Amino acid sequence: MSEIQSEAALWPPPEGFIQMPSLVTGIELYGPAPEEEAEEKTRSFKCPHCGGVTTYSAAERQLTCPHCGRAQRVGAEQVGQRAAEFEFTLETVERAQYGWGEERRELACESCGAAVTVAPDVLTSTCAFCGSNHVLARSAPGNDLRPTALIPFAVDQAQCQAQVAEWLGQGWMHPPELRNMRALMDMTGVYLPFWTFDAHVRAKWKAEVGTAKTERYYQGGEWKTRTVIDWNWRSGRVHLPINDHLVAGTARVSRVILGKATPFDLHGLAEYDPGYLAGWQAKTYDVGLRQTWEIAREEMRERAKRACYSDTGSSHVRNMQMTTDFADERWRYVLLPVYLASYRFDERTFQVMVNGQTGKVAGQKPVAWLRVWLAIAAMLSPGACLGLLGLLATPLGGIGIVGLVVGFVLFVAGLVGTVILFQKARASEEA
Amino acid sequence: MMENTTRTATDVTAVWGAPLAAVHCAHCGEAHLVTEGETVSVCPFCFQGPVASQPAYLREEPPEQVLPYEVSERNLADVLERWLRGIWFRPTDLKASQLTQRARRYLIPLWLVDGRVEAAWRADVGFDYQVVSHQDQYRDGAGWRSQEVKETRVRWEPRAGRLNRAYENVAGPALDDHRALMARMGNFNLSRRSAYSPEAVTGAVVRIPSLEPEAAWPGVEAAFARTAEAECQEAAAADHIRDFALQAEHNDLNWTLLLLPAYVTWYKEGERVWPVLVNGQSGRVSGARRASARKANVTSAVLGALALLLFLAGGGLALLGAIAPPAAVLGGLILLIGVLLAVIAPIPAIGVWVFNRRNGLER
Repeated sequence: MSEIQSEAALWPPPEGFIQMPSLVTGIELYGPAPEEEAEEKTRSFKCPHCGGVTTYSAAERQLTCPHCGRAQRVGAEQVGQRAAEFEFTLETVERAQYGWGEERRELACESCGAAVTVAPDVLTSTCAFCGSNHVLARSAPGNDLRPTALIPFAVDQAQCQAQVAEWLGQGWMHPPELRNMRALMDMTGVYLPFWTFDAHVRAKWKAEVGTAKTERYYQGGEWKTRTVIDWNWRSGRVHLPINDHLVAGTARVSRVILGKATPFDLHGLAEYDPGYLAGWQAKTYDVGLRQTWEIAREEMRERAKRACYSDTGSSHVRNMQMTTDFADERWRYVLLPVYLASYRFDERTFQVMVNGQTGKVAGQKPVAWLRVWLAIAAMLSPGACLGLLGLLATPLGGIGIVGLVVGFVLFVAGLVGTVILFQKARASEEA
Repeated sequence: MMENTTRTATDVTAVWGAPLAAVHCAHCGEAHLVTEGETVSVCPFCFQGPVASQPAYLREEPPEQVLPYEVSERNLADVLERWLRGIWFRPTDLKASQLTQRARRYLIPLWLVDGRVEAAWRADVGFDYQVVSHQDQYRDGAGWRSQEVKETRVRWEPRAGRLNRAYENVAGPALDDHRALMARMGNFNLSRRSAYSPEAVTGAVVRIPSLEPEAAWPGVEAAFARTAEAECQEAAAADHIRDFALQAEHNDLNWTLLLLPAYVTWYKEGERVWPVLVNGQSGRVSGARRASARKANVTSAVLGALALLLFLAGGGLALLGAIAPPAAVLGGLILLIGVLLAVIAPIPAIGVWVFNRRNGLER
């Protein structure tokens, strides 16, 4: 609907508008200037005071110079869950298939001019000649497949080492020599790629729902009771708003360990700024948008399925049919902080990961299997012994039977404990 | 801004090149040009009021263009016959042949304005894009089945600019009731217009413009703005446009008249005359589709009387059944038919009443 204005000035165009190509002669066209696609270049971090190489300090939450101690704030705003999200446009989904390309890139070091070779899966590098920290300045504007936000490191190396030392020292089932391993470990702070997904999941369900009822019947000259199930078709609707479902964008780190190191508090998300990456490693995604969205959708629809079963209000459900619609699906690409390290023990390599935001430690720990087997033996032996004694005392009558039963119960309890202990020990070594 | 002025045309024949004279209806208030010397007793538009001669207030130029008739007088009967289909108890006067015989060519004026627009503008323009969504289905035993769904959405972006364009033949209303007339007859395709010749108005009834350029200007200005809006959308290569604002100066305006083709005819139902308008280009017919209430009422009355007769006869036979039992059976049967007829009898009267409420109003 057109509006003819006589008072308000429509010319000149608003600030920030630039001239655009017009398809009609005699019509000039202006629109907002597109956010520039940052060129493939590095940003070096040097101290403006002494010229030393600056790094982002997790302890001080700002860029610091280790030589003169000068600190500099990183300008990005903490946006939390308000960080920019994107729709699943056809174009983005197709483009996301190709990632960032496979070739290595050669960039000139701003400090010494030397060529810095950057692998396709990393965002940061250090110049081999002058030691400058470089961060690829490419960020979100103009390209939604760049990281839009990140959680800055909040745990520094010292805290990390202390957490790992404490973690290594925990648990009786591990070799005591582990306490000394921390000195050998070099923790590397890495920003790992993650995808977050939002969706409104609306599910319609139809199923036969059973209601248990007790009925009396006459058999063999007496009244008895039994439980029968009445089956009726029922239907319903479930609405699940899902916000910031997190899926790792890399397959190069163990998903098991990564799962143990989570959760991250996404309220801590800040807008992407290369300053946060100075002195740290950062990886680009190697598991793309489409694959991670498949994973997220699988998890979301299983949640919807559980919600539908719960909506039936009964534990007796059969012939469940569901239609699940995903609406308002959105995603964002973020970098989350972790420390990674590996150590060798008994000719084997074990991985350790520390959540760079919360300090939570997860990883593999070798198991002192002798201790585990001894513990298992200790758990099984009371039941076995008592059972055996009971068996021997059976000819004595009641006391033997009681011993046998108590022995059996203890043995079963021991078996359950054994299974739990064994699984825990296996999980401890698993990656 | 308005270059053209109006004057009282004392000699329409000289200006339009055809023998025409102006008449005015006391009932509907509309003024028309009819063939000079023709005896016109009722208004050729509403067919209800008496008309009187009057001087015509017209511009000194004749119309510049006309839109040719695409529905010929020969085809008019078919068009009207189609329109009459489905009318219950059609009034005796409502026949396609009758309507065609009474039909007259009726020309509706429309302003066409040429001009240059210099303007500043702002708008939101919309670009279509597709997003991928999913619908998953689950069945016990069969597991999940996923389906990709594509959805089109609009991305809105602000745009501004300047415009310096010359437009030709931007249409603007020349009648007070232009909007109502167009709503009745539907739109005309103005691209098929041709140059005016006196033959176009010879023997026709021409509606005299009731809006002079000054009065018609707001409508024409809005039409200029709509044209500019469409062009700004095209300039931005956009799929949609909204919140279009224009600050314009209009120069070099040139106003001319275009005559749109129509037919006007009438029929009588009850005591009233019902006019019918036909779009001379598209053949769209507009008017009240009346069913004859008198015919329907008579039919209902006859059926009711027959029902009463059968009821009495059946009752008599049923009483006779006390003496001769087979007569009771026949009586019962006749009673039943009587009851059925009594139920059916009001249907014509009610049906026509409902039909006339739905279709019988002027539109």
